[in-house]
Amino acid sequence: MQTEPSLYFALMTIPALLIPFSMHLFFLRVCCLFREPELRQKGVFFSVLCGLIPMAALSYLWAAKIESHTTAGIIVSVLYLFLVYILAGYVYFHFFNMSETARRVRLLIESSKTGTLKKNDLPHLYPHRDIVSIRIERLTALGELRLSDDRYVLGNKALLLPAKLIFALRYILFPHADS
Amino acid sequence: MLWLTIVFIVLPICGWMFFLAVAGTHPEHGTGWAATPLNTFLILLLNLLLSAAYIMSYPPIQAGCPSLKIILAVNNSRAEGMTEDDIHRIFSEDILVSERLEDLVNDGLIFVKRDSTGDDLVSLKNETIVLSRQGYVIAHLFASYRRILNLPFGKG
Repeated sequence: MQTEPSLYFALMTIPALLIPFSMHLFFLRVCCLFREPELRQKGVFFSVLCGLIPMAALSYLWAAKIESHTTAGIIVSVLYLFLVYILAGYVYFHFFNMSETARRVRLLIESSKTGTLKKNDLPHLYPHRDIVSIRIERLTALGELRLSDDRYVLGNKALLLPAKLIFALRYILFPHADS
Repeated sequence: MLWLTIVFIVLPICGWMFFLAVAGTHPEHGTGWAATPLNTFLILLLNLLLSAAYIMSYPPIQAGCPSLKIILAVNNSRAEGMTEDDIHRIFSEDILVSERLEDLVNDGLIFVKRDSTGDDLVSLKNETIVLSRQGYVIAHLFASYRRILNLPFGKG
C-alpha cells in the first residue's frame, strides 16, 4: 500500500524552485560576490551548488517529521525533491545566461530604451566585432580558451562535449541550417 | 518558442485534465495509486520543469550559439590554435544580428517598419525596429530581473 504525498511535501517543492534564485541574489547583493562580468556565469553555477545545502536540510527536516512513510518512500520522495531542485537550477542558469549573453534579449532591451530603433544604427549600437570579442573574453575568463603566443587554444574543455551535443541536435532538427 | 510552450506545457496539462475528467480519480487497480490533486500537482510540476529545461536549451540549438561555435572551431584547429582574427572570420559580417532580428519578427516580438520618406529605399536600410506589446513585456521582464540582481544589462 503506497502512502499519499502530504500537502507539506507538496509545499516543499516551492523552496526547491526558489532556492537557486535566492542563493544567487544572496551572493550578488549581500556578499557582493560574482559581480565581475567574467565571474557572473560561475556565480550562478556556484549558487545552484550551494543551494543543495538548504535543500538537504529541508529534506532532512521533512524526513524526520513524517512517520507514516517507509524508508523506500522517503528515498523516492527526497530524490523527487532533488530532481525538482536540479531542474529548477538548470532552468534558472539558462534564464540568467539569456539575460547576460542572448543577442535577442540585447536587441529587445536596446529597442525598449527608446521604443524604436533605426536599423541603420544597429552596427554602431551592437557592432559585429564586439559580439565576437565579448564571447572570446568570456570563454577565456571561464578557462575554455587559453591564449598561447597570440593564438587561442582550448583550455579546460568543459564546454566541448555540450558544444558537440548542441550542434549534433542542431544537425538533427535543422539539417539544412549552416553549421 | 511559443509553439514549444504549447506542445510541451499547454497540451500535456490539457491532456491530463481530459484524462481526469474521463477516468476520474479512482485508484489504479492493484497499485493503490490514485490521481489525487496532490499527485496531479507533483506530476505536472515535473512535466513543467522537464519541458522548461528543454525549452531553455532550444535557443542555442536553433540559433547556433556563437560561443559553442568558437569552441568547436578552436578544437578543430588542434594544437595550432586560432588568432582572434581567425575567430572573427568564422562569422559572416551581419548574420549574427540579422538572423536574430528575423527570429524576433517571426516570434512577433518586434516588427520592422519601412520609412517611406527615407532616401535609401532600394537597400531598405531606412527601416525602423518597433517593439510589439509582447516584446515590450519581455524586454521589461529581463530589465527588471537585472535591476533586482543589481547588475547592468547583459552585453549580449
